[in-house]
Amino acid sequence: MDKEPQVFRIIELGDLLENTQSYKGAEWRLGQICATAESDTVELVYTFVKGGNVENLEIHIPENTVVPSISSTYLEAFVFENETHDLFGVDFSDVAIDYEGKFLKTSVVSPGNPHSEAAVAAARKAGAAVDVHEAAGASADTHENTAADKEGDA
Amino acid sequence: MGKPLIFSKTTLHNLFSKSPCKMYPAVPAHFYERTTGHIENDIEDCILCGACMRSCPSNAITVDKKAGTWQIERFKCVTCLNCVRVCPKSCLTNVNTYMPPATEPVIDLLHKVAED
Amino acid sequence: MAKQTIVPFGPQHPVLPEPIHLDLVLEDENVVEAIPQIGFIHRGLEQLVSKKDYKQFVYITERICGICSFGHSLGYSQTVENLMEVEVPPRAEAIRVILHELSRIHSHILWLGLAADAFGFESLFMQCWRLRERILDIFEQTTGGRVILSAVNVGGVNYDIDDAMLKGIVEVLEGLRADYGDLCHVFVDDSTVRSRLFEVGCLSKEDASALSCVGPFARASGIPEDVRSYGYGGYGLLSGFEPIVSDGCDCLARVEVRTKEVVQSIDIIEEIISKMPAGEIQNKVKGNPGAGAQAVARLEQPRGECIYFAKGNGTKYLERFRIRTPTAENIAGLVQALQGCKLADVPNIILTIDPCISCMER
Repeated sequence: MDKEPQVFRIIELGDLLENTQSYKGAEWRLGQICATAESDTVELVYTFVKGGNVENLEIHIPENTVVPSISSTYLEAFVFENETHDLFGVDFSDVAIDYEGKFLKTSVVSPGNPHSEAAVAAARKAGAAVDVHEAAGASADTHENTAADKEGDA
Repeated sequence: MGKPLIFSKTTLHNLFSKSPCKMYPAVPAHFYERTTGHIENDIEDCILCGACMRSCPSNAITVDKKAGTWQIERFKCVTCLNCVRVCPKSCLTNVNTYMPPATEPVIDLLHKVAED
Repeated sequence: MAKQTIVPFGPQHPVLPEPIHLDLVLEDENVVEAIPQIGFIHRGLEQLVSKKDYKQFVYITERICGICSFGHSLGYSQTVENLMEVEVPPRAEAIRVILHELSRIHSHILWLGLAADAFGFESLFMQCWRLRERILDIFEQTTGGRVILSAVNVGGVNYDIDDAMLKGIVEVLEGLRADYGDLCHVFVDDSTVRSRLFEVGCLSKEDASALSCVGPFARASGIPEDVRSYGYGGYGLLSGFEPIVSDGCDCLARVEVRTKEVVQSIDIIEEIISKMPAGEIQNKVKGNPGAGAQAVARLEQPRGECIYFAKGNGTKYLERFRIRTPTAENIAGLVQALQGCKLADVPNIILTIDPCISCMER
């Protein structure tokens, strides 16, 4: 039985827009944009489809790089780019319809990629808020103890 | 621009024929041979290897080899039948009736009697 | 100059099977712009890949959506088979195609019922779902489940369908043709239904092509794209396959395309049953996906083309698995089709893309 052709090519981030334009010119459709978080890089896979052919472009980017958006060429990419930003903390520039982080509202920031800048900043903020609460709780406890001692004595 | 009242044929037919709905639970439910109902274990043949516990995607089965027990949490089991396919002794089977409803999570515990 | 108001549509709406939110910018009764908002049913199922090994994960993929359940487990299995380069026996491929086409019939009949409910024809909705029960009975007799089948795993299928059962399936489908024909006659020819669907929500062929729309939504605008034409998997057994295309570009054309696809699926099932190969139904799969291996698989789900992507890392857990569902691709087309319509037509147009939001958000 036949299977789909598996074609994967590794390219640099700078070549992304040129490759996208050439696919659009040859009437290929956009398949998907998939992000995978590795230890300190993010791998993006762009899939293009035409008829029976499927081609995948792999790009490895270091943390906190800004990726140029392809939504000016393929408008439907805005769904995938907003989702990748919300789940993996990857920043895209000039997205056609930009939800600024509110496309998928998750309780944990950037759940797919705990090393991203957004996730680290959120953890730091949450850690600082917990410290403030602990300090306030500790001083309230000592205050109550001294009051109880005074009442006990009297 | 289209014909009127085409659906009236179906409406009149249904008006004068019996309802397709069954009066469940007065009429009992009909189960087929392969219907996924619940899992049962033939504890005499079971060797307590734990393969079913490792293969369960919802962690419903607990096997304790030392204590000689095999336990299933009925409310967690989704009857995917992965354990039935993985069991090396084929002692797990799918029985095609549903478990009765309950107000608290049901845990079925089976003890393997040690051979003397 | 007309005043603009913004009306929120969803996430709770009687016509929507799943929650999606649209902000409709209106001038009097006409929609000028529609801004979608999703995320109400995001469950983070793809993160479970690190907790369930690749043989258990098929049961998670089945439960992503209730309507496309079999399609997702099939697509996942095909992707992991491509990843590990495992061959599937021919009889298993044929059984997979039969179950997948039955899943398409049940999904389209379900959709026809929902579309009837959207324009207010509730009796027609009930009659469609009554027909669908016959397909769910076939599922229960062959695989044990009505909606979630647990019938596919990596390397083959779990249940064999013998000749007596195959003959029973053909009898049920032949009995379905006449009753189904009566219902289609109502959808396509009735004057009240036509007045709600004719020339509503038009999306031209150029727009559909520029926005990469997929599935019956695109085929109703004249684009002849269908993954089944390329003969992957069990579809290679078919002698010929032509996608059903219409030039209407409006809601009525999308209804027509889906009604004809059900009849086409019944013909495909009967052809595959007549050519059923003999043999076993499962190849044993040992070992783990290789480190750095990647694979892609495509499937024609009832809603359109679905792309599955998997990546291995040498252990029994996959590194990454992603499903690109047809609804995610059609959202841009929906926003385009909603421009210029009237407020009362918005539920109709949203339903004609056949939205499966729970698959889209996983």
